[in-house]
Amino acid sequence: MADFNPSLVTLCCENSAFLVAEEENLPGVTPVKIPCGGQVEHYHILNAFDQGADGVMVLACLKENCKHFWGNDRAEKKVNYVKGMLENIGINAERLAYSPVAANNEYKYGELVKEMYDKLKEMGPMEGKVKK
Amino acid sequence: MNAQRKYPPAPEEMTFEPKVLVVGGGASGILSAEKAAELGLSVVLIEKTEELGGKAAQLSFLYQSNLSPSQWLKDKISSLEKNNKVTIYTNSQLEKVNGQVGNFKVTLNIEGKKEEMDIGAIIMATGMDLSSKMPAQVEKGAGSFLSQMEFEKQFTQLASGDSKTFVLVVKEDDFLIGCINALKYSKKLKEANHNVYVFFDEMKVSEEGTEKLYHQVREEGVTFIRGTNNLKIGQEEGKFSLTTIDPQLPVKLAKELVINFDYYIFNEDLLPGADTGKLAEILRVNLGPGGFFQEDNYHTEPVYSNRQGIYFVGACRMPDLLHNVQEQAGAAVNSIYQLSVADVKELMEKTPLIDVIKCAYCLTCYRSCPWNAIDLLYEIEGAAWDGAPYLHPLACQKCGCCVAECPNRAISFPGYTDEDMQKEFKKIGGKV
Repeated sequence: MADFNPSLVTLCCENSAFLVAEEENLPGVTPVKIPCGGQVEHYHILNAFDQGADGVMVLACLKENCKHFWGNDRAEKKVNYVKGMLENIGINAERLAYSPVAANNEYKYGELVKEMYDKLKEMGPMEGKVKK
Repeated sequence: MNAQRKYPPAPEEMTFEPKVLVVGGGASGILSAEKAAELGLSVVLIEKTEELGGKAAQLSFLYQSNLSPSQWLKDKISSLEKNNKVTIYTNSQLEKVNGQVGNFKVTLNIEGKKEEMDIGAIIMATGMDLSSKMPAQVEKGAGSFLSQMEFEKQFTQLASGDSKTFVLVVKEDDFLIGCINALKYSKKLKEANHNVYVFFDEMKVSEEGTEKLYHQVREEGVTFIRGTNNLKIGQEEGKFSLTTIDPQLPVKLAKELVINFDYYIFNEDLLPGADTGKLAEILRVNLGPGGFFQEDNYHTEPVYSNRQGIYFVGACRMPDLLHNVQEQAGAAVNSIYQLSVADVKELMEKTPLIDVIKCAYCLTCYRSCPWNAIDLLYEIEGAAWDGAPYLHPLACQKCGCCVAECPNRAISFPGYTDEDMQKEFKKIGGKV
């Protein structure tokens, strides 16, 4: 497993995390812009896994700092819901994570992504990946 | 069968009524009405009581100048009454608000009669309430204890005469009005050769020129003592004394300080107006901390609410000083102007749109919208359930909450549709 390079998708709120993600260009990480944490649908998270992601992170604004009042709370709820769905179909729920990131906190973004990346490296490739 | 409407409505149907409703006839309401009339918008000003002016008209002077606020407001009121763009209703209240920014359908209660109106935007300027609590049980000479507002009303009368002793006590509060009032009184009283003691918890001098004023009155001989918790009021035949120990001094030096005073002036608690909660329900806006209208969210601007076209000015959002209120009124009117000239066609292209064939009219989007931006339309051509909710392009803030919540996935968000997201996910792992 030493040469396994996981691919990570970060769904980033355009008001906070995406501003950071644009600056930090990390290998193996694909930042995807979303208008607000509240826009995250379970369909999109599952679609990301389907398209070959080994892990997905949803990054929204800090608590009580959402421009749209409760978008980040909604994102957290949705992520917990999808975690249950992943476990039901036999995928490690640790592959999905939610974290709040502020727009000026590049360090935290880097740390979070690095931590997740190392975790994914340990876990190995996605269990549910269909080999063609 | 009735004539059926097309969905979505054409951009030409989205008109902006150039009419502003100002609720509350205090200083903030008058200033907002004046600014809006300057811009050429017609203004409807409603006031709950019989007279315009509110609390600011009872002030005797301002800290910056000797200008009398009551006279200043009287001039403004008379110029508003002459202005044919402005309609003033006293003894009136807001009853009901329907629709979205640009054409609110507002029901007013004008002296007992109900009247409906088309309004473009609403400025709330309902102000605050004061509650004063006597610092001590007094048998005789209760007139020596005055709240700041009572003192303000009879200032010239009390400040005249021989050297009296005034004690100004400013208890800890969230707002800086109490401190600034104490400073402005002490300046005037010192000029009239009175003895002034100011007791305070925290001196708030963040407003322009107030720190200078603080140093000035200190040099003139006003005594400032920190701490309001250990004040003991002694009374003897209608004469009062105040005993305290300065908490800032070291224990060895600390001595009891006894002040025989003539007047004791304390600051009131500033509370939101009694109708604030009721009005928030009518307007469908969120309340901020302490029950005020202010939204505690630093992404939105101070005068904004969680609905476009509804703005808060003055003490109903946060008790503030008159020159700040003037700026807030300008900010609110400026936002109304920007909305009225917005390019609706361009905004419509970015706004999420509901597929009327898929929509089951379950109102999940209506309930989940944080901006309350959804209009309910009926008699729509080709709709599964006769009508469909409509995301108003001027009110929608493009957060996508309704898109995620829709159980039937009937709402498509331009730029974030399934195909667009799929395109983004194609880049996963560096493969393009």
